[in-house]
Amino acid sequence: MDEIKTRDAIAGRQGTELAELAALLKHAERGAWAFAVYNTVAVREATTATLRQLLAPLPVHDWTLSPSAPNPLAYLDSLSPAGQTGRAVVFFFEAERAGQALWGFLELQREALARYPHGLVFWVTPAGRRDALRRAPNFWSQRSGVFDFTVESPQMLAQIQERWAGQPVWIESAADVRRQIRLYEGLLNEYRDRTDVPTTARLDLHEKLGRLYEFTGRREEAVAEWQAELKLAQESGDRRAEAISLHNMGIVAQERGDYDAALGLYRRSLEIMEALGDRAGVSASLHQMGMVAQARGDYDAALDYYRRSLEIDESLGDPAGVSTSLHQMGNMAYLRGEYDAALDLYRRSLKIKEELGDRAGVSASLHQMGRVAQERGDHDAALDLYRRSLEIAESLGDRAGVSKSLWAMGIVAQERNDYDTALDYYQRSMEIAEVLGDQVGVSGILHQMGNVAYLRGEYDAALDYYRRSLEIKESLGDRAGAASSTDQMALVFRQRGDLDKALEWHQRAFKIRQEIGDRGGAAISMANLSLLHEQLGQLDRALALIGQAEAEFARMGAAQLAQARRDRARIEAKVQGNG
Amino acid sequence: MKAQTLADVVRVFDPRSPLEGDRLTDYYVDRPGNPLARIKTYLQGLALADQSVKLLFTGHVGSGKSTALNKLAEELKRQFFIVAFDANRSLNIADLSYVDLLLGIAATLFRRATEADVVAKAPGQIVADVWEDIARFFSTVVMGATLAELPAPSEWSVKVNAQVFEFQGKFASQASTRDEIRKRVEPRLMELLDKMDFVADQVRINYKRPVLFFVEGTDKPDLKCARELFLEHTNSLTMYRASAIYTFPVGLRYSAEFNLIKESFNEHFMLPNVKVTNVDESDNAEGLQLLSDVIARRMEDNLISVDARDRLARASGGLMRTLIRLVQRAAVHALGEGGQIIAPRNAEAAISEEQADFVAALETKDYAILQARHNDKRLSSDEDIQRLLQSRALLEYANGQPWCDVHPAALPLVEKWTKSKPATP
Repeated sequence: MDEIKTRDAIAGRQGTELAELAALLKHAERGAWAFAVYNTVAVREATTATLRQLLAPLPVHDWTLSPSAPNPLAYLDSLSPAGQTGRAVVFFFEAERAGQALWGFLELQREALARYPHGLVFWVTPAGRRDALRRAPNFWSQRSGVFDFTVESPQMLAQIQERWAGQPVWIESAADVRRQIRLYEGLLNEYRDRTDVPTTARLDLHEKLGRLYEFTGRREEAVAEWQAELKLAQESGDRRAEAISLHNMGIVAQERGDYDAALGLYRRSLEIMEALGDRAGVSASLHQMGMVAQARGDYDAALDYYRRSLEIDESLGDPAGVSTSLHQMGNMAYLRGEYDAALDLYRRSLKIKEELGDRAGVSASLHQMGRVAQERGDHDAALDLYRRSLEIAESLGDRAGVSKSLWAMGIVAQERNDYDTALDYYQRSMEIAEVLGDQVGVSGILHQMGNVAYLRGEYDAALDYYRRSLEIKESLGDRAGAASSTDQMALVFRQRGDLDKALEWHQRAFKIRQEIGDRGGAAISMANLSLLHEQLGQLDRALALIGQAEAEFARMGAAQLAQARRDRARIEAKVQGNG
Repeated sequence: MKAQTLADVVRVFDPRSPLEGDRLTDYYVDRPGNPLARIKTYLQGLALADQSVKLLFTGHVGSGKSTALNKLAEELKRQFFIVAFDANRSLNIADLSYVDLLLGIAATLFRRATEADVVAKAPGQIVADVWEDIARFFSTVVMGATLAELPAPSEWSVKVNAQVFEFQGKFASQASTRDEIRKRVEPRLMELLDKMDFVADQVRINYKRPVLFFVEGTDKPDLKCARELFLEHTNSLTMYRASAIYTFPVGLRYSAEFNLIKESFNEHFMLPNVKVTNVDESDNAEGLQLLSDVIARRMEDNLISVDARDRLARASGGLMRTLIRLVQRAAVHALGEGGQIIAPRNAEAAISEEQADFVAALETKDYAILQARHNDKRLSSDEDIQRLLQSRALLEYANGQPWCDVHPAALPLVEKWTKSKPATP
């Protein structure tokens, strides 16, 4: 956050109140209770951010009260033993939402609350302040102070709200995300009954909130925000915002594996962009449609979308767009096992990114080139490329990028059978993903750790990892990912000799993949099922399945084709041997 | 340990908890008209002679009742088996009923009498049969369950202790449990009182000290709830044999019903607010000095200007907790400025926060009432007066005859209102 903005927002009288509140919280070693009054969340967020700096190294925790969590004591009781006895400050937000229950708890539990050495700060609106005084008079009379951060002038208030609403979304830690969600939700709430707020401001807030929710895996809420954005856009005739919200909802549908819905949404977005003559928007839609086709294993269609997107970007003179399309086309070649072509495309993309000074993009290209090297069995080159990608991500403070590189380096170590090193990389990668609240990442790494356990023959551990991965994926609605963990669990059962269970779980994975239209994944499932039937001695069934898988791999031009051919040859030989 | 710096002041002046232990020894200041000596006389005279004594103890919220009771417990602990019960801590005060209260008191007695340190010190042990009887009552009547397994005879007291612990945990937090327990206990309340008497007798015989309950928190529920408790169920509250002191809401003290209530109790005592002015509005030098002493006990003199100390003492209206908070708030204000001592402007900042409370709490009609009471200083059983006493906009002082005045921090608001509108009594 920008410190100058913070200072602007809380100048003058509020600066003094801030210094006083900080002095109280610092020096009240046995704890203290304070109320902080605000009339816009913008100032509240600026104030809490500055307070955190002033109070360091004293830890500051945030807790959002709600009708289902109205009891501050329950929060304190839930802390670890060290957290209960160590000094810290707790900010309680949304007291008004918790309502009467909160004031009742405060009145009732004063003695228990006073036993904690924590500084408790209740952030309240002027209405919340009145409620506290009337409904929790005894607690109120034991407070150490009321600190006033309200902005009196309406013009000033509008200016501050506007400035905070207009900030870009930044994601450095899960705490940042929570804070921004609180801020943008609060601003939307403050805007609700006002007529002087431009629609564009509301649209922008819905859009941002959607992105924040989506990042934290709260997809339902993300979609709800974008739906609100869509409705508002349609009512006000803002076609661009309409297209953007459709596009965003398309991304969620795509992540859920609901490819038909995703394509439908992208198409609607595309039509609006075309009508508006917004070619960059058209290109973005085409690009996403390419990714859906790619996910379905429909590589020809994907390539076609990417090419159309590339053409537009070239005609627009949009080198950034060009580099992205080239990168994606590189991915297509990679998936087809056309490694020379892939490398060529990645290199072209890399060159443009270097010229643009797009270091994040360079890091991504190096990463993909690392994957090509890895596929070719050149582990040293792969590690070198991943490491270069990692260094850039680190220098950019791009923690998600660092996590991704560590993950890839783990896979290289795993392929070298150096399982301890692999687990170490995975662990480090997962720690970052957890801090970022990146549930997709966590579920992926758990899956990978399951693979290591599987390879080591530690089947219980493997099942445990896969199950945890599966749970997260199911909660995220990530059906493609869930299918992959399900398939792996089937492999574990097979290794244990529990063939019935193995069959059941492979079929489950196969069914999901068919339902979401993931033909490539379905082909992998068929290959797995074929091996199982082979083991069960059901050779005809095994042969039929591997034949179908092989045809699908061939249609896609997938890298698994060679293995499927070998499997088919072997099963055929057995059939003939039997006959 | 006196505060040596303003940072120490913030720590030492903590408005949240009453004085106890070392802090009681270091910081306690006696006040004129303090009824503790009279309460002691009552208890030592009657309760030690095995008479049942039931007293009411009242005072404004934040006047120092809890600290006063802590002081009394300290002085009486060698003569009485004191069982301190805080309804606030153990019960749900929002819907406090007389059944809850008696059950809470009884449970605390049972638990206290079965605690390991008490049992170990007893010259003669209470027989296991007594505890078996209590344990069975607690299981079937209170918790509504049968005893899953029977402990060894020597373990019955441990069982009771554990049961009470479980009950106390559930009762405050679970509304559904609370309702069920009430339904089961109410028809068998006489039995419960009986068992209280029985255990209290055993304690008296074995520990050579009579049981004395300190019941706190009964001054806290709203007036309607308090009325039900003290007016409609006075008999139940006074029927058991052990002696008890109940805290009592100040608002109810001047209600018409109070004459009825007080008949069931031996005596009522009021912890007076420290007077900052006299009825004739002249300064009460003795009271102001005492409030200054309270401050001086806790912090070095050179941390606060004389003027600031005087302003804070006056603005507190003689309420201890308000004084403590005002000093802490003024210290915080001074620290926020980078100051080393509390200056008059820091004191004013703290006082203006206190005024903001009254701006928020007072209704328009209250200003006229407050102006009238400021003029005549008369207390009455009027409902508005009771409400204003409860909210501390009016404070009661005793000086021979009790009288009242507007809280000093609210007075400027009332005077401002008077200037803008002609007074209508």
